[in-house]
Amino acid sequence: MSAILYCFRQGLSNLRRNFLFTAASAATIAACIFLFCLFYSIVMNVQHIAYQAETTIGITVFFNESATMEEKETVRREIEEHGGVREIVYKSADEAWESFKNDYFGEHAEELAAAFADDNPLAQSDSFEIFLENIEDQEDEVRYIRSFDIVREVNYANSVVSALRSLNRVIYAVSLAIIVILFAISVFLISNTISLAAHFRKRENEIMKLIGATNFMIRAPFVVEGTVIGLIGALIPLILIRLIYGKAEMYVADRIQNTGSLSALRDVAQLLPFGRVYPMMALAGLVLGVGMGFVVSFFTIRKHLKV
Amino acid sequence: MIEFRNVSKTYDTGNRAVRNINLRIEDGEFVFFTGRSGSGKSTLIRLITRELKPTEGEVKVNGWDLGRIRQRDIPKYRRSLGVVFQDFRLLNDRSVFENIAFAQRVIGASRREIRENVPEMLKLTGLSAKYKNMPFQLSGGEQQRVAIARALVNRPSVILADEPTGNLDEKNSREIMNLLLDINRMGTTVIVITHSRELVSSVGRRVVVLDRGTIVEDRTAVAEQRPISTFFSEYRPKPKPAGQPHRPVSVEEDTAPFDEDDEDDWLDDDYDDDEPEAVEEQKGGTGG
Repeated sequence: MSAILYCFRQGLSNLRRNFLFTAASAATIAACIFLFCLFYSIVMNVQHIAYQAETTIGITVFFNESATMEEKETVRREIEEHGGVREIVYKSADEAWESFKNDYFGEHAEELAAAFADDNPLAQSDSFEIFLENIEDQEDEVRYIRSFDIVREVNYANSVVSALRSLNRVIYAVSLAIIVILFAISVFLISNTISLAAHFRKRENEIMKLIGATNFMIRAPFVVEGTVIGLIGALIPLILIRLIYGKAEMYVADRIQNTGSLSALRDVAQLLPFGRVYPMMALAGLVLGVGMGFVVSFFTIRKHLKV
Repeated sequence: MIEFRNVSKTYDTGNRAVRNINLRIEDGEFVFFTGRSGSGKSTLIRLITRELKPTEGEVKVNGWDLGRIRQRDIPKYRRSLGVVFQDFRLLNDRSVFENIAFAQRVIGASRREIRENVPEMLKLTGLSAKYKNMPFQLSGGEQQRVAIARALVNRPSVILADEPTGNLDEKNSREIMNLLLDINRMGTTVIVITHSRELVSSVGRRVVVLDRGTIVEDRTAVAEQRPISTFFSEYRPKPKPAGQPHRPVSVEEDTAPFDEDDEDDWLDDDYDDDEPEAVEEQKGGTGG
């Protein structure tokens, strides 16, 4: 017990002695983990938005002008029998117009729409809003719906979702590249800090060896030093992200509310709740920081101290 | 017992440091290794500390075969040795107390053991009054006594002293030699490397003379029976050898009283501090 305490105290003492190197190493790890957290949040949220888009926007089916209600009902039955459909909602031309007015005219809906009082511009735009049980079947379902003669047009979230997915891939690649570079710099800096500490304590380590200190006793203070650097480097960005995320969540919600965007967008473009993103991200950040500090210092000191 | 059997050591550079060494040192002996620079004295010491492995032959110390010892047993083996260097090798950022306690801490000794053993070593080496001093506040002789106290605190059965008086004046050299002789008389095997013929002849103990890596002379002299310090009456190396008779004091006696209430302060001293602790009430060393 006293040996462990001794190693721990020595490790902390090393941190103090090499304050500048310690600070530089911790700052680089902090930058690395901050970016990791930032990109993790972005990737998770874009994924979330893409998923929301797929599940809440659904497939909108418009019909030819000549299509009768009976024919539309037949199509509805056949789509339902085809399977994989969670819900089909019929939206009449009047409902479509009401929804359009609310989304685009906002508070002045009635005044602006007065010009169209007896003439619904969306007269031929009654539609089925189809929600699938499994979003992965969307492409197949769309192909099936298009095979009906009375179907004029099928709109679905394909373009939005694929754009979001491409964006996510780009973010993922860029973040990975930046994190790898920062990771390499962190490894270099921690390794340098530990090497410097080993150099400062060369005489002490030589004496320790001759007195009969075990490898553990000689190396442990350096590993403690590296691990604490990693821990500090992880805690700083995790605290920062905790502060920033809450503000970003409120900002996004506020922006969407105030710009009177589409009702569909309101459902889709919301940040994931903090509680759903943070625990996993914090765990990953801590493991990354502490793990990096531990592993790098362990291997660096192994190289330096042959007992 | 320390035994060299047909030992040779060739460095990677091709330099053959020692050749076909055959030597046996019994428990409790006091032996000088002497010879010119490069004669192989330090290589023999480094073979005993197992910093080096013999290229040929066998080195056995206290039953350990150092050519075959497992890596993980080396620390355990080294705890039976105490090493003293010409340049003292003290930790300059720690007090006298902490320099001695350091040897106990690194082998995982408890606070209670440190509290008991370090003051004992301070008394033994006459440093009780200077336990709070930093090494740079001590004279060369005092620094070497700290180094000896550090080497002794784990109660080794063998003390290896590499030119322990090399940086000291005559008076300090004599004191250090007396200290080593006292340690030896309590049963600890002592090996001293020295260049000084005067020192060797004044002490009158076994002398192994090396030249170009070989033993050219191994002579045993009759030891002068000098009285032992009272402080050594309590000291014993860990594997207890045959006891020595208790004799009256002759070396400079450490009469400085320990302040028992101070014990906790010693342990609570922040030995990690980069700044030397306050030593106002301590007298700085002036060449003892």
